[in-house]
Amino acid sequence: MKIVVFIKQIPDNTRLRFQDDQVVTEGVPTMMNPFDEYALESAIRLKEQVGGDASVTVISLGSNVKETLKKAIAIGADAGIILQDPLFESTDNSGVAKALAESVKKQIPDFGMLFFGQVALDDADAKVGPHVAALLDIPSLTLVKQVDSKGSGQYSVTRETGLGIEDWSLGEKAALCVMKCDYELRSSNIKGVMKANKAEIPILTAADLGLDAAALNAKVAVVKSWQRPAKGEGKVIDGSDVQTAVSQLLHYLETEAHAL
Amino acid sequence: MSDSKAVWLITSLNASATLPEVTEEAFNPALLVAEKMGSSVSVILLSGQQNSQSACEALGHLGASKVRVLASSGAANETPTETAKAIAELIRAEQPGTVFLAGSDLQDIAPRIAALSESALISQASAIEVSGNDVLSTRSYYGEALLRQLKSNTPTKLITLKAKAFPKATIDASKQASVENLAAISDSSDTLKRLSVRPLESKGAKLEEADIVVSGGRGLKEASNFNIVEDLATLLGAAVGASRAVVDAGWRPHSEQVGQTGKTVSPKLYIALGISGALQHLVGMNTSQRIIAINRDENAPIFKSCDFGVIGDVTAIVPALTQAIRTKQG
Repeated sequence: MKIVVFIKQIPDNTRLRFQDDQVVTEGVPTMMNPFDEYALESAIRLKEQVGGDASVTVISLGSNVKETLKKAIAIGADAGIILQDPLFESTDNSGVAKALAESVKKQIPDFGMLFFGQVALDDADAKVGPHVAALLDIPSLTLVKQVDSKGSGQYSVTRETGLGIEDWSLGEKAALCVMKCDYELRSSNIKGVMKANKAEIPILTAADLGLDAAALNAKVAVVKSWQRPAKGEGKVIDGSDVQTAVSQLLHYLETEAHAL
Repeated sequence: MSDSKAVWLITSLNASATLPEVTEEAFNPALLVAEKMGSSVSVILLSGQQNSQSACEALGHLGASKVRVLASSGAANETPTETAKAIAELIRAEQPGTVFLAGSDLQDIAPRIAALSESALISQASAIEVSGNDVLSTRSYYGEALLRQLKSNTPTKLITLKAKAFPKATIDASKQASVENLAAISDSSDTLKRLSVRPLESKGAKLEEADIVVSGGRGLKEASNFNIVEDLATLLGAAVGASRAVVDAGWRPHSEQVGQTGKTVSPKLYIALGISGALQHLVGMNTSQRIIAINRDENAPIFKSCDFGVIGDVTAIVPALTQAIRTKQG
């Protein structure tokens, strides 16, 4: 089975700077979106379960994403594909979804399970996975916690939704959006690092995917941006005397928070 | 037939066949847009196999002028794939201007509808404004640090809403909606099947919907001390949350984790007990209306983001506080 993992490289949220109500990403370290690490781990586990000639291809859209893909290969992926084009920079998530869907259609037409992180922490949009699935006309499930092969092309998926813990069965063509799993994330090993160093990672442009400016036209425009005003520093008291701390907390809960 | 002034609200029911809170909240912006457009709110209710009669009445009381019920004919095979197709077809046929999606578990369906109807989707909007003929949605980026106001340029604009960002709409029991049934969704043709649903074991309020959240972190020193958090939460009718550190340490399940790789909450009151307040936790709770923090380390970043902070030992202060509240409440 040809498994695909879509990986987004994002700026480290904890080290962002802002200027004139715009985010400054220049000089900010990047990282693999944390949920994509769980998607990658789930994909590698599934590959190991399925065995045989099962493979994992990682695909990332963006500039300077080569190191992130090499890291994914060092962890256990088999191949990588970069999608890079100025047109991708100006599109929105619907355009990104189109590019991802076309890359699979063209490069891995006999694809099997597709893995996404549940949500990317930069825009917190959580919609590219099901969008790609709809474009490819395959089913999708979000909030996935666990995936297992049941043999004969059948798979089981556990997800955690508002209704509770749900168990699903499905065939091998589906998009799964993975949340934080109970799995331990593996790190790279020497063999993997050597494979990553040797890996040739092709770069595909919008034209390679048969997409033009009209197809990638953003459907959403930004009217204005602003920084969330910082919360003013509140009152902080010394609580070394428990009785004083308790009476002040009681007072706050009662008169300010109206919680009692 | 395009109707740019039409406002739709697509919703689904909880396991108990009641309307989720986010639906009651969604009537707020939906009625606002309808008023500015000179139209009314038309609901599509995804009822699955559930009895929807009382939900239809409740939707009328909330301000819906019309409810169209979309049931599914096959009990076992109800999937997001077929549901999204059915709604996308309705949207393509009627081309409503604004469609709010606010129900239980619509996260699979909304992006599929966007893809199939080629409509722009703005997710997790926390404010809605109408300017002329434009509906403007505000949402946050980079862990709540940056806000952007967005405008969609497709005939139909799909919008999902952030939980607790809008007050619940007023209920007026004299208002009624007309109800009609749409053709039921047929059995799924794809391979997806839901086999079972096990309700999550949760004591007390649901984390994302609770008015008060009490969370615990490493400052509790050991897993067995978490009952300090639970006792206070029970007393306040609050939901229990946890920091990543204690989830990773196996003290608490991931379903309770608040923060970047966990849940985002926005309650009226958030009480952080023994949580230092790393940015990855703060982004999951910093839109709470009020934040109380108790932590031993006076340099903990949580004290820069709280309304009321106490520098001290949570394992000493909180049990005493719980006792004092009990005494007070008699």
